[in-house]
Amino acid sequence: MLPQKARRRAPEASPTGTLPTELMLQIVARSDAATLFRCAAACKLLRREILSPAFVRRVCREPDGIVPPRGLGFLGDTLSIVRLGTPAAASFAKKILAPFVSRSAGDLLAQYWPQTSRGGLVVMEGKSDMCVYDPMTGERTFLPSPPDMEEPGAEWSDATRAGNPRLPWAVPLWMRGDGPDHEAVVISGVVHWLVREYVLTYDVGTAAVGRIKFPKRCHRYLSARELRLGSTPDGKLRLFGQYRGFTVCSWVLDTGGHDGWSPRAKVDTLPKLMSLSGGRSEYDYYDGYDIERFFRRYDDKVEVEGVGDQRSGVAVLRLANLVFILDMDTREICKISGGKKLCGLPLVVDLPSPLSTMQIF
Amino acid sequence: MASAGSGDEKAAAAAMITLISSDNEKFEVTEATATLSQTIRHMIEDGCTDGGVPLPNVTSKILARVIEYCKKHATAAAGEEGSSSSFSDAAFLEVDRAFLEELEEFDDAFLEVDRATLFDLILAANYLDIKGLLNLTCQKVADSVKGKTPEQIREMYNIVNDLTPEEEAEIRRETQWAFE
Repeated sequence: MLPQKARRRAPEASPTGTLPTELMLQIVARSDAATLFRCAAACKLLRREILSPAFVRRVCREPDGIVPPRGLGFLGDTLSIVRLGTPAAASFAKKILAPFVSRSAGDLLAQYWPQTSRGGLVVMEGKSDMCVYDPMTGERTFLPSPPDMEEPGAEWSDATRAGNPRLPWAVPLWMRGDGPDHEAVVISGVVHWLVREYVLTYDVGTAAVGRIKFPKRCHRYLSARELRLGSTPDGKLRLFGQYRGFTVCSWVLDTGGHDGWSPRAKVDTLPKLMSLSGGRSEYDYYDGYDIERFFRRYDDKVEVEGVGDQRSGVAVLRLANLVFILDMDTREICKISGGKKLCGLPLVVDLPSPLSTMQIF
Repeated sequence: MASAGSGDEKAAAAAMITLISSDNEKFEVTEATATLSQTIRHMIEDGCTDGGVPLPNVTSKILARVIEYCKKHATAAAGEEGSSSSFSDAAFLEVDRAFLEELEEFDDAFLEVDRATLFDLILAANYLDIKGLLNLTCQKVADSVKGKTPEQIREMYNIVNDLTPEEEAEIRRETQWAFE
């Protein structure tokens, strides 16, 4: 028998009704994303532990992680459901993020229209000015509208052209162009446009004009009409294209490699597109045609209609009147419900990244 | 097969272990019940349970509840083993399902305690390394934390707020959606 006194001196169980940090973390890991962020606002110690790389990994990556992986939403009159990622991500978007966006930005979304999104920020255009809006924080910054460049003598475009005789006259039009085909990609002050046979670059700081050839392989199959420009999160130019009907591929412009481009992903979308379009309940998407007839009828190709969020690696695909999104990094494909047209601007919803950059006090 | 030192399986299953709480109360439990705790399992394997297992971190009140949980779940574990050989049998599946439902009801009722007791159960489950109980109790607290404000979370855990108002404002700004 062990002496009683030694036993008695052992630490009392929760004398003040609190728990050691490790156990609080166990509880946080079983809650949900919003609770995690609120717990991280309770005190310095808990915040530091929650934001520690090991814990962030645990809640983001493990199969039962409560922080949903990066997903894609659509911002129109409201934020609609995220279709990539897990059911947890969809539920998070529907129950928390979408109501937050409606509450905090209902007025903004009624008067401004989303134009483009990069890294989770949205540029919105209103009647007389523009707004940069962050759906995750609700923050907004208003900017005066750029002058109308199509108008003769408009200040902005003339200045650009005058300073750069080598810049093709149509550049301001491409910059201005509606729709994703003409969207410029800006990386560290250099603007990139797709023109017929190359990528045109313009360095805003030095006014230098340059051109980048397409990757050799893709050049054989594609013209600029079928390619889309985006970038990687670390700021490299990324090119999306489609060949042989249903294969979607992407290249990233590295400094190495013989032509600078390295192929990153090649995804044969046909099997997944067929299965996504083939379910009996999906017949309404192609007006009653059965799937084989549908593919025979429209057997030309899938079209890379746009790049979701320029930095996301997500391609928006169109097949006749169906719209799909493809994540080139995870190779996931999903169909946009509602089918016929996009119900807003594709927008990346990313919780894991902010977690690793949040301030620790 | 049977654990350290005991050749006869039946004898091992019937072997009794004495657990001693921090306030010196003794609890006799079967080895099957006690070994839901990995901590005690290791002690038994090391052969150091003669004369009782002192648990200086666990009061008699909490230990009684922990043993209640272990008894119920040890029976469940034995039941699962028994039926696993004929799991394709519909009748067995039916029995299993009924048993699982009963177990779930037990767990729900088991968790109907005040917060201080729940925290003590978590501490005991952690100390005794009883995975099922730790998961159950942590999940219960996690469910009750959902929807709480940082201030309510502090109250719940008795946390002192050491963030300045400026830091708090900055935190809110970073993830506004989480604070509405």
